[in-house]
Parts: sequence; C-alpha cells; structure tokens
Amino acid sequence: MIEIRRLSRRFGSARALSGIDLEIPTGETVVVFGPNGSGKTTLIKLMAGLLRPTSGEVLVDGRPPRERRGRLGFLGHDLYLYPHLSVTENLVLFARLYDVGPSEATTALEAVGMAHKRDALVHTLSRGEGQRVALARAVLHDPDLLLVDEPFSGLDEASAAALPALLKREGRTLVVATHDTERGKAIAERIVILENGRISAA
Amino acid sequence: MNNVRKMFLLAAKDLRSEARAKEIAPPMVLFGLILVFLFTLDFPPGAGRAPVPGPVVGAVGSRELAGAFLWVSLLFAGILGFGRNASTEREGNRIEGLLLAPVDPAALFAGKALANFCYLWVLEVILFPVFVLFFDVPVGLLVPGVLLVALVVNVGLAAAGTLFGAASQYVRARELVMPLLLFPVIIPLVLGAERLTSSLLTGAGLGSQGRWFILMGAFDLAIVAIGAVAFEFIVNE
Amino acid sequence: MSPPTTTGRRSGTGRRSGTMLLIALVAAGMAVGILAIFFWVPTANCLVPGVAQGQPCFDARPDYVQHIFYMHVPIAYVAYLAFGVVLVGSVAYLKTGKRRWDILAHSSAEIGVLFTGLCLLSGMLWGRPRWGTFWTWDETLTLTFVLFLIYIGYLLFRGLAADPTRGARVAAVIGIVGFVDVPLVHFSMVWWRTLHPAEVIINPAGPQLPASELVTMLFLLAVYTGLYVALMLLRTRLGRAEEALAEAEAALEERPPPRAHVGITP
Repeated sequence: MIEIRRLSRRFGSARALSGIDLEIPTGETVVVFGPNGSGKTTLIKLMAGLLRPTSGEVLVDGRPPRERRGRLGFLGHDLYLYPHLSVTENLVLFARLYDVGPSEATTALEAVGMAHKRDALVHTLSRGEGQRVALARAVLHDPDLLLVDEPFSGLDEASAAALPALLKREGRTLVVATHDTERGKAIAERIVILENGRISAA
Repeated sequence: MNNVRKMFLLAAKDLRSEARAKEIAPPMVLFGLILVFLFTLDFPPGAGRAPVPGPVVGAVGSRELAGAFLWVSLLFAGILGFGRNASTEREGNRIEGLLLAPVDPAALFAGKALANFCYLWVLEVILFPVFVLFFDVPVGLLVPGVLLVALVVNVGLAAAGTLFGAASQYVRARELVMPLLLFPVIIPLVLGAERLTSSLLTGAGLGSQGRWFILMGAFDLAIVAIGAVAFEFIVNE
Repeated sequence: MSPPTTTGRRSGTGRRSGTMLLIALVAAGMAVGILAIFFWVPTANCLVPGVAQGQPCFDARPDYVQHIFYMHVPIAYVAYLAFGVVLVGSVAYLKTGKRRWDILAHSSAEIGVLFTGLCLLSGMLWGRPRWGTFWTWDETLTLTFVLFLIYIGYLLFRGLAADPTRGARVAAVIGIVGFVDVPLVHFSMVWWRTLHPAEVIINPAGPQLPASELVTMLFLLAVYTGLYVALMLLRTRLGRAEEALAEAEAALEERPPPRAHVGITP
C-alpha cells in the first residue's frame, strides 16, 4: 500500500508538486493523467525514491521507497541499459543486482518478445526495441510495486496493445503516468488527474 | 548475493563494457604517453644515469626530477579516465538504474573505484617501461619498489577520482572542476610517490621511508572510507 | 498580507550586543598581546628547542622578525579549528539535511580560507628575512598551500553547481575529504626535518618553548579564537538572513497570482 501525505517537491524556486495526498491500496492499478509539466514524472519518481520530498512523505508499506528497493520496479524515460553490453548481459546484471536467478532474465526477455536479440549489443537496437528490453529490466524481479512513466510513447500499435498484459499481475500495485487518455482509461481501476502540481480529481 | 560480490559484478560490468567500447583506456594511455614525451624533450641524453648530487636541500638531480614527471603524467592521464568512467553512468541517467536496485551505495562506489584502480594499472604497465626507456633509468633500481609505490598511490587515487568524478558530473564546467577538486586533495599521495621514487632512483631504497608509507596508507584508508560513505550523497538527487 | 515570519530566532538586539562585546574583547586582547610581544617577551629569543631564555641565537640585534611567530602560529591553529568546524558542519548537514549546518560549514570555510591565507602570508614575511626566500616547496608549506586550495575549491564549487542542494551536498563531501590534509600538515612538522621550523607546541616531547613565550602564544591563541568566533557569529547571521530571504521569495512564487476583479461580479 502506498501512502502519500502532504507531499511537495520544489526544484529551486519552481514548485513541481504541492500538497499531494493519496492512498493506493495494494494490488490496485492507478493511472495518473495530466498535461506536460503537471508533475506526473515528479510524482512517479518520488514514489520510486529517485527523488526526495521537499516536504511531506511517501511511504510504501509503511517505509520510505528506498527501503523497499528489492520489491519495487521502475520504468521511465531513460532505459538504464549499458550500450556496449549485450541485451542478455544487461538483464543478467540487473537480475543479479536484484538477487534473482539469471533465468528470470531469459523469461522476461521472452515475455517482451526480444529473445531473438539476446546477444545484440544494446546500442544497435532501435528505440522501440530498447524500450522493450527496458521493460524486461523493470519486471524481471517480479516487483510488488511497478511504477511506469509514459510507457505508451514511441510504441507502435502492436507493442502498445501488448503492454498492459506485461505490466499487470495479480496482487501487483501498478501506477502508470501517461497523457494517452484512451489507453490509460482502458487499464485503470482508478484515475488521478494532476494539474499544475496539484490533484484536481482522484 | 552480498554487496562485496555485487561490487565485483559492477566493476566487471565497467571493464567488459570498456573492452568493447575502448573509450576510456586508449585516450588515457595516449595522453599519458604524450605527457611523458613532452617532459623528456627537455632532458639531456643519459640524464637518467647521471651521477646524483649529495643530499642537499634544494639541489635536485635530473634523475630525481624524472620521478616527478612520471607521477604527474599519471595523475593527469588518470583524471581523464576518471571523468570518462563517471560519465558512463551520467549518460542516460544510468546511475539511477543502479540506485533503484537493492545495492548498498558503498558497493556502487567500490565497484566504480575498482574499475578505476584497474585503469590506473593499465596506464602504469605502459607508462613505466616508456619512462625507463626515455629517461634511461636503470630498471633494477625501480622494480620492484615502484610497484609497491604504485599500489599505494592507485588505491587512494582511484577512490578520490571516483568520488570527484561523480561530483563533477553535476556541475557546469565539468572538465575544469575535476582537476580543481582532485589535485589539492591528492597532493599528499603525489608528494609521497615522488619522494619514494626519488629515494629508489638514487639507490637509497624504500626501507628508510616507512613514515611516508604510513602517511600514504592512512590517507588511502581515510579516502576509501569517506568515499564509501559519502558517495551516495553525491549521486542521489 | 504580512510576509512569512522567520521562526526560531532569538532576539536580535541581545545577540548583537553580545557580538559587539566579543569584538571589543578581541580588540583589547590583540592590543595586550602586541604589547606583550614588544615589551614583555625577551626580544632576542629564537626558535631552537633547548636554547635558554635570553640567549641570542642569530645575532645580537633585537629579533623583531621573530614576533611574527606569535601571530603566525595562533592563526594556523585557528585555521585548523575552522576546518574542523567545516568537518562537523558538513557531516551534520549530510546526516540531517538541515540548512543551518550547511551555513555553519560554509561560513567556517570562508573564515578558514582567510586564516590560511594569513598564515601563508605571515609565514612568507617571516621567511624572507630568515631564509632569504619567500617560499620553498618543502612538505609543510606544500601541504598548507594545498589546504588553502582545497577549501578555495570548496567555495568555488558551490558557485558552479547547477542545483544548489546538490552543490551544498557535494561541498559537504569536499569539506570532509579536505580535512584529511590537516593532520598531514601537523605531522609534516613533527616527522620531517624540513625548512619550516619543527612543531614546538603540540610536540610528542611536550612544549619546547620558554614560559613567557608560551604564555604569550597561548594568550594570542585565545584572542584569535575569539576573533574566529566573532567572525562566525557575523557570517552565520548573514547566511541565515540570505536563507530566510530565499525562502520568502519561494513562498511568494507559489502563491497563485491575484485575479483582477473588473467590477462585475461573476
């Protein structure tokens, strides 16, 4: 369960988020909508522990996200892949860092349909292929909480259609930030709308 | 898997990546060689074998000076490598991918520092023979003592280079900031290395230089400890 | 609408008069110290351990150059103190994230750089008549100059950082790493025979100075420490005011702009 209380985040003098209060029960799929600059990415990163709040708090099962790293998955704009290592080498590295067996890397790779590129160096992949490997990276340790920022951008029809099945899992809390209203509504169990750093509807 | 093994995993990741990309070590070595060449230009032939003047403060023979040139070249070339090694994590924000994983930030630091440590040895393996050749220094005087000196220097230099390499990723004027911060901090090691090399080259050996080893060893310990603890404050947002 | 008030500040007037008193004491102490140097301590002493008080050692002229020693050494010790405070402030800032520790460290670093600069300068003034040269690259001078550079780097870095919070955090790391040099400077005077005179006060064999010199030195040490504290009080107050200003500006930014009422009620 995610608890967010009076969360604010400032960058210098610019306020990205103000006074966010939100509770997400375990296993729920929440989609965060909002125009560019509304604070969606900031919110997702705060929930992942990549950013620290200026004030307020984020708790994942009662602890700050940085204490839950092993059970948390994040997929954002950056792929977090090493260009001169192969797809498999990258995924096995992350599997080991997340304390799971290397076979999980293979399973995840097959699930995203990139098994045929297992020995390709990451810098040779197209943007879409890279995104799929990044998705494999984000889920290979079977996280209980998956945080995703703009997953549909840059994907073709087929990949975008296949995405929800890869993100969702029974019992997993899923938070997706997107401005793609149609696809977002299709997967959401709950919707949160951000505007200028505040929740305008939830 | 415990954090020590993760540290080796991360260092291996850096080295394997570099073995294919060749973006760090070749420029480092090339730069180091250029510096050594530049320094040699002003030396008369046979300077390395010239008789050494007596132990008078202020009078330095060319053989003793040669040691200083070696370590300065190493330092500058090393800084090039540290900056490039750090930027591999900055590009694409890859450091975030590592910070998200359940790895102790000290292990992240140690893995990076271990890779830098290896790059320094690669640099030395090439620069030392070149140095012997161009300064015409008797090899028997240098080896094996200089390897011990290199070991003590590399530990502290790699640790400090990792720390400040990471710090410089987050500022304007990146290439300026790293040397600006690193040079003063690392002077005790460079000074010690020069004194010890000087002692080797004049035939005095390392036996009488216990104090310098203690000082440099303590310095290394302090830098590694501070680096392991402070690294996360630099790389976390 | 009233601007946001700063909380947790003690009454301004009380602090100000305390600082003024301290400054007055420091000025008085400095005057007393200078008088002691010129009229109380025998002028022909020099800094060789074991030489009996009153015995000339360089020549029979009054040794005015030696007086710099009574300033140079306390200044050096206070510089160490300042950097020690930077260490404490930096560690505390990293642990707690509270801005007041960062302000403490920043202020102390500025004053430490000032004192190190004065230490180098006074050393040079002493060195020119004594050694015939302003400078030499022996271990002690080199490491002290390095100390100077490290903390200048600390101050410069803060200006170069893109994000002020990260800049402050990295500066804190520099402040911690930089302090490793301080014991090195001290030990270089104890361990090695260099051009710079050996450490005669914090010496493994005990203080090596005759009594009147030691007393004068310790007195001036107290005076310079008082000066440090006075400067810190002034500088940290300035730092806190800057911080309050920045916070007030930020608070003003986030309030939504007032809507203009054109006279017709919607």
